[in-house]
Amino acid sequence: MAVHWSGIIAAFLASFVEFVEALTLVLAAATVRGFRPALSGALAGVCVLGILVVILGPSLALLNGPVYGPVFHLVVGIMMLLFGLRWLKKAILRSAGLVGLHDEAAIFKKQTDSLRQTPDEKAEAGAFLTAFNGVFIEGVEVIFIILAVGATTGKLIPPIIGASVAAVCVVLLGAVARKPLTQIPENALKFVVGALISSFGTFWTGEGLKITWLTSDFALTYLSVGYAAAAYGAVMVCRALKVARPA
Amino acid sequence: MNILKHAAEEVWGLFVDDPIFAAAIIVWVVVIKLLTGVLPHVMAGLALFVGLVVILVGLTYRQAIVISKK
Repeated sequence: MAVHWSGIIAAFLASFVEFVEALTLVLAAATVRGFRPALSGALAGVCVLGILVVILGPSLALLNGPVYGPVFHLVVGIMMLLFGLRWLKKAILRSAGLVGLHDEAAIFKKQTDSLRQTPDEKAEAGAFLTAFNGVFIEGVEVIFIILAVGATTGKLIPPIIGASVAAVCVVLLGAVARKPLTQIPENALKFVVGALISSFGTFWTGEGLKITWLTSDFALTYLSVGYAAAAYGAVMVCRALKVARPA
Repeated sequence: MNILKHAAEEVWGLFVDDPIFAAAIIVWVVVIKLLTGVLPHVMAGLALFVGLVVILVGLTYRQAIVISKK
């Protein structure tokens, strides 16, 4: 049960962050060339992502059986470790002030400037592609989390629910704000998602190696807390490094 | 083709944007695989987690040093 709730939360938070980034690109396209090409591109991106989940989800779940289960858990676990620890590393460096925070306003301006320079005959296609690329590229990370969490737990529905709720929240916020969502604490969310996905990766890598976890039902919880605490400590150390070495 | 190429690069980048970081993680998993024959399984789990934390903190600090020198 804890695994399912962790999956829903991880999928919701990761999807929320990625959809905020996609929204910036869709809004940029809509601002310059109107909502029709922008929403068409976004919808096309969502359809392609949906097709990927429908095709890959059940196929991957078939591998999660008695024959290939341990190898499958190991491979997916390692992929989740690479993904989650990479997110956590970036979040640590951003929190420490060593790398700039993700700036939705700057990205919005860059995209709108680029689209305004597109010749008129290619304007609609440019807007469509900007929105499609934004949704598809940002959505790839969401798809990975849905598939990885869903295939290892044997239940695709909980992470799909998490991602869908996040999509609805971002669309509603975007419709109300009608501008990039710059107030969302993206790095804090990425910090949490990084810890969650890293704990999933550690858990499933361990399952693949036939490791026995202490109180297995709560393993994800204490692994997540452990990663979050270690990452917070790393932020403090990196901040001290930044202070000790003036620019 | 550009979209496919961009998507392929994006997918690769999801997992490996720092080859040393990625390699360290995979090497540690292999080490734990070898140790599961020797250590009690619960200890192997603890070793897996602790080793990954050391990799995370150590290589992040290494990157922080490089960035702060620029």
